[in-house]
Amino acid sequence: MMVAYQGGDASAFEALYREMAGAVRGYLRSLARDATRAEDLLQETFLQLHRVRHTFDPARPLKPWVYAIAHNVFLMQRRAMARRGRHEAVADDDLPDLPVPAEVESLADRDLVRRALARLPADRREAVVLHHVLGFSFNEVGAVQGVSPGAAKVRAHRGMVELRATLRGEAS
Amino acid sequence: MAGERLELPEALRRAVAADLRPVRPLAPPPLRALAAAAWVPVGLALVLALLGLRSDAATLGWPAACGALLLELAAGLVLVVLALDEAIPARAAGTGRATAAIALAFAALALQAWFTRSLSAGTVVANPLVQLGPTCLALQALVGLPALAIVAALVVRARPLRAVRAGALAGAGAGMMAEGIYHLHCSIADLRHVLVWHAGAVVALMLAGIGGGFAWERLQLARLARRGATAPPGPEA
Repeated sequence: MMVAYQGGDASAFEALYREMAGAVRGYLRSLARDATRAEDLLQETFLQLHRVRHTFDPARPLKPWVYAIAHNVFLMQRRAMARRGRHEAVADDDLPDLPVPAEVESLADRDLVRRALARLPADRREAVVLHHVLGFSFNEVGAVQGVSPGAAKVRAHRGMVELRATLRGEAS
Repeated sequence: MAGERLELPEALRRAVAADLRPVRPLAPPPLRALAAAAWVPVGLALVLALLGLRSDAATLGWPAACGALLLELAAGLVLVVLALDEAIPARAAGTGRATAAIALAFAALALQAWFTRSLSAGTVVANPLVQLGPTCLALQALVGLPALAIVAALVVRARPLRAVRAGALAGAGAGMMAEGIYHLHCSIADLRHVLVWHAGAVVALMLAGIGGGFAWERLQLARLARRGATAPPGPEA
């Protein structure tokens, strides 16, 4: 698909979008915690992907490359917002449909899990979503976040520990 | 989470259709780094022709002189490869590995300086911390500038989103390659001179790379701000 897209095939880009945009949007929602912003970020991600399509190496996996672009687009947009003096504000009622790790779904109702997940530090939340929801290996999580696989593993592990502790606290 | 299939928005479809020329995937970073290495024989020829061979070359011997050159070139090329990796999504070295690589390159420079000093006292100057130091720094940085320009062009071609880190690695890499070349001219072997002024030239090029990275990132942020977070995507300017 990517090879055809790099060769100039518009339908391959459409197929790529159909295949990946849903999951990437969920991932961006977990980063931005704002459904409207996540939509903007999704379009910006695919636009950026189009601009840097020549950097994709067909011999390497596609998903980490796409998610690393989404990750970087999110960081750039956050910095652009900071420059404009806008800050991220998330109201609990406004939480988008955050993806939830299956391991903690049974600990509390889904809304509670979403709120607890949204309160995690951003880098841990991202590692939890990438590893426990999207099924990325720690090598791939590290590649997306720009850290070593070991650091990615620590982030995901601490995120899950924190998430479980919060949910047990809420339950009791 | 992965299940939902979304249809391509019309604005994005138009933006992509406006520029759908076939592209060739970038060659692997080690291969692209060879473009920066191509500067080495040119730089070496210019330094030897315009500035001359170090006066203690005979004492030092060719194996030692060339060994130092090769060590520093290798360190520089590793940094250049990391810079090119950094510019490509999902291939970033990470802050820890990038910092370790830069630290190792400076350790290689210090090792080379110590080894050279142990073989030859070189040209002795009264005050090695001051005398000829600024000249060495300026000339060595000048030797590294074309290499930095080549690496920067290669990095920018990938449109990096973490340009500052890529710039730091590119600058340090170009600086190490320049130090390898300049080592064949400067015969002041005093460690204080080498570790302050020659390492200083590497730092100067690294700072130039960081500055370039900042400038690139500011440009990207300004473009993003101009387009606005809610505006539909348009074709690239």
